[in-house]
This record gives sequence, structure tokens and C-alpha cells, in this order.
Amino acid sequence: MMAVTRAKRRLPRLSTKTEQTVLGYLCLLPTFAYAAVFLVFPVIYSLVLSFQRWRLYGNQEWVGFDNYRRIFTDSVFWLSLKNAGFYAVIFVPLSIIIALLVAILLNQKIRGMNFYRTAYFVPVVSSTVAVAVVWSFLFDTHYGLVNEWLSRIGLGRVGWLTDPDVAMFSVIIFSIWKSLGSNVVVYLAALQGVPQQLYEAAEIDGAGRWGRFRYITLPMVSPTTFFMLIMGLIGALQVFEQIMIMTGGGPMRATYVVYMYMYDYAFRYSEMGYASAVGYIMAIIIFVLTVINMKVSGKFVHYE
Amino acid sequence: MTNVKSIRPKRVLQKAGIHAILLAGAVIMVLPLFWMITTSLKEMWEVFTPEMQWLPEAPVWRNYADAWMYAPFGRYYFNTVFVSISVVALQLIICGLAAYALSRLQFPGRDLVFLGVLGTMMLPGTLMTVPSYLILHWLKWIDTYYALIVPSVFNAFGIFLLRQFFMTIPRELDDAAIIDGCSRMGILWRILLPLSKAAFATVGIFTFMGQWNSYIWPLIVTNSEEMRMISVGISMFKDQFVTQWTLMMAASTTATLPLLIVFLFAQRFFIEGITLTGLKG
Amino acid sequence: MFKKLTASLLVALMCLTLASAVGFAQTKTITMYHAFTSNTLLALRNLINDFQKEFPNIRVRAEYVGDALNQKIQAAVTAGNPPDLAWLHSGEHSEYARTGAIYNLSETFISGPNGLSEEELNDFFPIMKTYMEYNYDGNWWGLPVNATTMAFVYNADMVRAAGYDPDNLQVETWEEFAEFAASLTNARDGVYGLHVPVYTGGMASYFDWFFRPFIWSAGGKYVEDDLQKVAFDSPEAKEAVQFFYDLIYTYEGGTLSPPSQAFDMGKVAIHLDGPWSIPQFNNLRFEWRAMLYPVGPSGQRFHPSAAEPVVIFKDAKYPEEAWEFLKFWVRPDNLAKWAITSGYLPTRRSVMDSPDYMKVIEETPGLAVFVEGLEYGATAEITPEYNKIVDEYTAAVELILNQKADLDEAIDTAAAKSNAIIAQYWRDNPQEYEDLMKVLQNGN
Repeated sequence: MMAVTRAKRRLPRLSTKTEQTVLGYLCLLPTFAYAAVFLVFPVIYSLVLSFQRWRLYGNQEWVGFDNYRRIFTDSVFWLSLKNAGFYAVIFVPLSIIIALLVAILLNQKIRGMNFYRTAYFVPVVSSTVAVAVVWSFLFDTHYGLVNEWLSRIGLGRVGWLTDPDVAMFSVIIFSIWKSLGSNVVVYLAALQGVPQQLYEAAEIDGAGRWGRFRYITLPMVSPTTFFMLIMGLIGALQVFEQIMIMTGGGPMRATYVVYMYMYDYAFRYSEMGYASAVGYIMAIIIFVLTVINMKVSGKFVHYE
Repeated sequence: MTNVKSIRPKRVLQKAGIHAILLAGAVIMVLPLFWMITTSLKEMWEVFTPEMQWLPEAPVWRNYADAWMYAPFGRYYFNTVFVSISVVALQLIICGLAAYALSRLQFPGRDLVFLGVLGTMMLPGTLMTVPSYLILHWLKWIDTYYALIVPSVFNAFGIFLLRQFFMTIPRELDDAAIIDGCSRMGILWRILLPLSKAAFATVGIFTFMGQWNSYIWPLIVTNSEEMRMISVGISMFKDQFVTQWTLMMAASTTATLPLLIVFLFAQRFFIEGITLTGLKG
Repeated sequence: MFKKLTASLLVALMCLTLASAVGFAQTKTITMYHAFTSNTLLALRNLINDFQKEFPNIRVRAEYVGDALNQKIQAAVTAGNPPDLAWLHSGEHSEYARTGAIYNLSETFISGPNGLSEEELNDFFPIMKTYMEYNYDGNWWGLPVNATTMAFVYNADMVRAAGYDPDNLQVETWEEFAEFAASLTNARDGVYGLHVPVYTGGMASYFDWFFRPFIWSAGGKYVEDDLQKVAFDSPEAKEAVQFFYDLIYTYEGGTLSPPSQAFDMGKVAIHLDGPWSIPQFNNLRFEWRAMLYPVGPSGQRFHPSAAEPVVIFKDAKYPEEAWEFLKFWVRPDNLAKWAITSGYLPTRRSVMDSPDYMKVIEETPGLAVFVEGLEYGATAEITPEYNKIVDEYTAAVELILNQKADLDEAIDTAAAKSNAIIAQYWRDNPQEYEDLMKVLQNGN
């Protein structure tokens, strides 16, 4: 029986390269179809806009690289880019490390795990308005719970949302809180793919807790960490909603990021063309950083 | 034997420590949810008080009746569930196929396609609104379920995540299966899918949540009240100047609790994931 | 799909029966985007019901678009698929007018046979007329359905505790206002008299509403009459900034950053708000009253006010019918019902003076102050690139009030930047400038 099947199957395996190419593109067909209908046009549309001066509707006027030139000479653009970069540099690694630690804690077989897992996922689904109100209670300079706790251990008040030197850190804390649940879910899925026998074998070999983490867990979840790094960077450089909720870009533009800059031009200053150019600059920066990111962190990824 | 005795109290202490950490974290995580629910049961004057008041003096259930009177929440539920499930189903198929091609098959242009998939996340979404509306207008899909579902069926996040999971599954399994007479597509169905259930569940849940909470896009591409989704129901209690906190939180609770129940249910997939890999791996 | 099909069949059938009854008059459906909720939504439903009775052949579909209002209009207009009408936030119709997306109502409808007479136009409050005419080129590009103004609402319990009589408050001048705020402040407990809402970004316009009347009552202006330069760097306008600096640091009567919802919580005693919030205030546990803006060094008092217009789009399917509905809306009897239910102030004198509305003023504590405030109302000067200029100015004031920048230096820098922005704008749109100057010269 076995032999017959094997013989039958041998023929197609000869043309395996062509087969894989055909099959590959067939599998990608829905993706390409989607892209053709819903992505190609918007991408070209906004690229064309970025070379035009266009207020809301009405006349579209060709201005060449004028928008781009204006952007590069605007100090607010550079400030907003710097702020986004700062946010990304701190937020991305921190959020990944914390998510991995929490996921490891949540991957144990102890009582109440369902409750904990759901609890950590709650921020992902919480109503934005409720979240904003509660966090403003927590971070308030005078009445905030955080400052109250700090004063109990003898530390002074911090202007979490009002001190321009601190505000970005508050936003980062908040973003980590908000995104932890989804990152943990991804890590949990990855941790469950790690075969138990590897740990058992390591334990027999005398590996301690750290050793098992360092030589088994870390390499085994490295494809997921790679995923988080890439996605985290792409997302962090486009951070917007979290900052709108917490500070609206203030105080004194300390948390004003580049996506906000683009948004202001698109909807408050009615300069769609200029906003498109900002968007393209963002896309190019993100693209370059992602490619570098993939090259560098790709080296540490362990695939089966 | 002496070893066992000395370990036990240490284990108990360890477990208590883990519980303490997890519990402290959990409290911070659910605080806004807690505030949302308690506020939905407050009188208006109890919402903001000189001293933070977490609980209402007496629960005001009337808020729910009032909130539900404002908008057809039943219809919103139906739309939201229908749209979310459709998007999740279509997305999992499209993402699964694409991720399979990008992780398991060798063909020219593969890496370029992968980079392209990632590239779709790099252009800010704000710029896509107007041209996407134009496309839907040309297709005559404005104010239909198509407009709510079809533009969301592609998800670069999902493709990337599934690709990463597929890549952790040993290729020897594929070869063995092919030798056993399994077709190449069969590998996706018989090996990759069951072994990355957790990843599929993750993508599914994220998409479901995203659809459930999506607000601006549905407002833009639908016009009639019968086509609206649940988040619109929440926004009905806040305009440019005034927020009706208690009713808004009642509406938010109405919208959020089912989501949490879905999550509790979907979690079982993750746990199933454990036993599966535990047995086979 | 099936449900929709059956439903549309049913509607078609009903229409047919109706049409044969009325004698084949065709029913036209006009659509309107809006972001009304709660009481205002109720007022809209009533309005449409009344309209339907009088005009059975025109159906009105009101489409709630909430926070997506601007984005949706932008997308729909670009696609050539706009609604017939839309309600707009104040300050936004000029951009639509400029780009030709909406009808010039003065030209197309108001002056037409089914238009509005001179008397009717003059019945709108002068401030509404100024707002509509000066916000673009002297023509009416919409009809104002809501009058907005704000006044200072205060916590009467706190005021009483500070030794004032909330029912006979003698706070008239800037100095008295600052002293009043100071007496309500207890910084150690984090309780303040006044919140000075210096926000940039999306909330900058709230600061503008709050602050501009102080520039005016100092005898200053925001923009020069020839619209070539900003005027917020004049000594008078700077005095207004200095006043708030003193209010915060010398009088110690205000804060820049109270907790959110501080007024509701009793942490801030004075709060700028509009008549639409009266039902909310009545639900608080403390008593509240409202007071006018203080009189400034110029001896004058100003209140911020504006109109919220409804506009008709150029690509509307049924512009005539849309106009019919809009005209119906601002008819005194309908506008009175609208104002009473929605809580916005009426835009016409005859409505304000009508017995029905007088009764409402009498029965609604606090409302009279807002009505009086409208008498002192002034609208923002024409400001090309409004949001950019406001952002520049607000950012400067934020630095100054946080003691991070010198007053003169920061304001002058903001003015120089703003002047460059304005100059660039007029270079790009010379025709618009010419039109505007003609209107302004005729007006004066």
C-alpha cells in the first residue's frame, strides 16, 4: 500500500521547483487581488498628491518637490520626528521584554490562569474614553493615585502629564499597559509551541532556571521576538491614538509626534498634499529602518 | 527524599509570589473596566466627586434602559457580529494561504512579496481614507456590508505572524507527510494548521477585536442606521461639547462585555494548543 | 440582502400607493450629515416630523456621522457623492466655500423668488450676520441654526465659602476677576479658582474661545484690519497674556493643569462653558451660577460667539428641496422649537424675544446670563490659515504661562512666523484677498 502511493507521488516531485512557484503564486492570488483593488490606487493616489498643493477639494496644483522641501525646513517636523524616534527607542524593547516576562508567568499551570489571562487582555478591549479618564486619575499631579503612592514612600510629586521632561515617559508607560495584553497573547501562543521535552532534557542536564530561559525559551521564541521587533518599530513610529488619549501632543509639544504632525496638516490645516508628502517621508524612513532591523535582528532568529 | 521536603515550602512560596505579582498587575489592567462598569450604574452626580468614588451608592439600572432606548443596539450587535465573523473567516483563509507560500514554498520573488506585505503597513492609514472611499464608491459598495467587510480582509500583521509560526514547525514533518502521500496543500491543512492553532486563534481574536471596536471607518462608508456597528452606539452619548458619562458607560459596557466573554471562550484554543504540542512534540 | 430587497419593495409599493393618492407627485429624498446627539438629536427628529407634515413630497434622511464628519464630507465630496446638506462645526464652512464645494446661498437661493427678505435676514442677530459674512467673502454660504456663546460658570458653594454672595456677585473688572479667582484657590489642597485652558492641537480652538475676548477687552485685535499681519503682538494683546501670567503667579488664582473634569469634581471653581451644558450642571451636587466675561482695560466686555451653519453642497441631488428644508428650519416658529429642545441659543432676534422662549429663559436658571453674553458677543476676526495661526499663538502662550519663555520674545516670534504664513497664503490666493478687501471696505 505504502509503496504504491510512494511510486505514484514520485512523478510530480520531479518538477518540484515549477510546482512550488505555481503553487506559491496561487496561494498569494487572493492577496494580490486585494492589493490590486484596494492598495495600488490609494498608494499612487497619495504619491501623486504629495507633489501637489491641494486644500480640500477643488484645484489640484502641481508643485514638484515643494512640499518635501517645506517639510525638511520645518523645525516642527524635525521635532515631531525626534519625539517619535525617542518613543520608539524606549517603547519597543521595553514592551517586548515585559510582554515576554508576563507571558512566561502566565504560561504556568497554576490556579486562576484563565482569569489572569483575561485580565491582562482587558486593556486591549477597554473603552477608550474610560481608559482616558482612569489614567488621568492615576497620573494627576495633585490627586493621582501614582503620586499618592509615591508620597507614601517619601517621594515628591511628579507632573506626569504636565512636566515636558516626564510626559513622554508617561505616554510610554501607558502604551505598554495598553499593548501588553496583545503582545502577551502572541508570546503565549509561541511559548506553547516549545516542546516540554526540551525543558525536561535540560533539567536532567542540570540547567537552572536562567539556563533554561537563555538556551531554550529565548531561541525557541526568537521568531516571535523578531516579529514583535519589526511590528513594534513600524507601529511605534506611527504612534498616534495613545498620545491623543493621554496628552494631545502637549505639554509644550513634548509628545507631539510625526503622525500627529501629518494628521494636523491633513485635517486641521487642510493641506492634503503636504500631509501626503509627510506620509511618504514617514513610509520611507520606516521602510529603511525595517530593512536594517530585519538584517540585524534576523541574525539572532532561530528557525527549525 | 530529603530533597522533596525542602523543595515543597519553596514551591509554595514561589507560587504565592507569582500570584502576588500577577494579581497586582491584573488590578491595574482591569481598573478602567471596573470604572466603566461602576460608572454605568451611577447617578450623574456620582461620576466626578471631590473624593474618588469607585462605587455607586445604589446601582442605577435605569441607565441601561435609557442607553438602549437611544439607538438600535440589537441591530448594531447583529451587524457587528456578522461583519466581525465574516472578516475573521476571510482573513484567516487569505492570511493562512499567503503565510504558507511565504514560509514553506521556494519560488522566485518570494522575499520581495514578503517585504511588500510588510510595506503595506508603512504608509499612514490616514492617507488611505479618501482613495479607499473612492474605490468603494466606484464599486457602488457604499452603505453595504461589502464596504464593511471586503476592505478589511487583508491583514499584513496576520500574514507575518502566521509565517513566523509556520517557520518554527520542523520541515521534516512536511517531508514525512509528502512521502506518506500528502499533497503540498495538504501540508497546510494537515500539519501547519493543527500545529499553529494558537497562532490562528491569535490572529482571529485580534481581528475580531479590531472589527468590534472600529469606529471611524464604518461611519465613513455607511450611511443608514441599519448598517452601523456597535461603537457608533457608544459615540451617541458624546458630542462636541457634552458627554453623558453614565449612559455612555452603560453603552460601553454593553459593547465590551460580550467581547470579554468571546475572549474567555477563545482562550481554550490556546490551552488546547498546549496539550497538542505537549503530546506530539 | 433579501431583507433589504423586501424592504425596498415594500417602500416602493407604499410610495406607489401614496403617489397615486397624491396624484403622482414624486417623492424626493434629501440627505443631511450631522453629529447631533441626545437633546439636539431629539430636536432634529421633531423638526423633520414637522417638515414632513408640511412637505409630504420631500423626505429628509438625517445621517449621523459623529466624529467622522469632516473626514466623511471630504471623502464624499471628492467622490462627487456628497449629501444634500450638512451641519458644520463653527468655523469650518469657509474652507468648503473657498474650494467651491458648497452653494453660495446668497447668490443662489436667498436672493431668489423662494428666498429670504431683507427683513428676515436682518432678524438674525448682527453677530450671526457678521459671522456668516466675514467668514469668507461677504456672502452667506450657509444658514446659521445654532448660536454659540460661552460664559463663566461657577461653583456657588465654593463661592459662598470664600465669602462672596453668589447671587449678588460684584466681579466686573479684570482685577476683580483675578481677586475672585484667587480667593477661591487653595493651592496646597490642589483647589483652584480658574483653569486656564492652554491647549495646543485639536483643543487649541477651545483656548482661542476662552482667550480672544480678553485680547479684545484689552483693546487689542487678533489680526490687523488689512488681513496682512497678525495683531496679537500689540501692547494691548500682550497685556492680556500678562494678565493671565499675573493671575497664575501673582494672584495665585489659577492653574494650567487641573485634573480632568475638575469643575464637576469641585476642584476648580470657575469654568468656561455653554448653555448646552445646563442640564449637566443641574445634575451636579453643588449649586452653580453663571457670570459674564469681566470688563477689560478698554472699558469693554466681550463674549466669544459664533454660528453653527447648515450648508448645501454643490453636487447635491436636490438643492432646491434642501433649501426648502433649510428655510423651514430657520423659520421663527420652527427655530424656537429647535432652540428650546436642543439647548442651543436661537440665531434670530424674533425667536429670542418670542413669549415661548422668554418663558424658557425664565424657567431655566443660568440661561439668562448666556443670552446676555450673546449681546456682548464678538466673532473671531477673519484669519487666513486659522488653525496654523492659532497653533503658533497658543504654543507661545503655553511657554510664557509655564515660565519657559519671555513674553515679548515668544509672542514676537510667533507673530513673525504667523505673518510669514499669512503672506504666503495671500501670495497663493491673490483673488480671494481682493474679494475680501472689497467686502470689508463696503462693510465699513
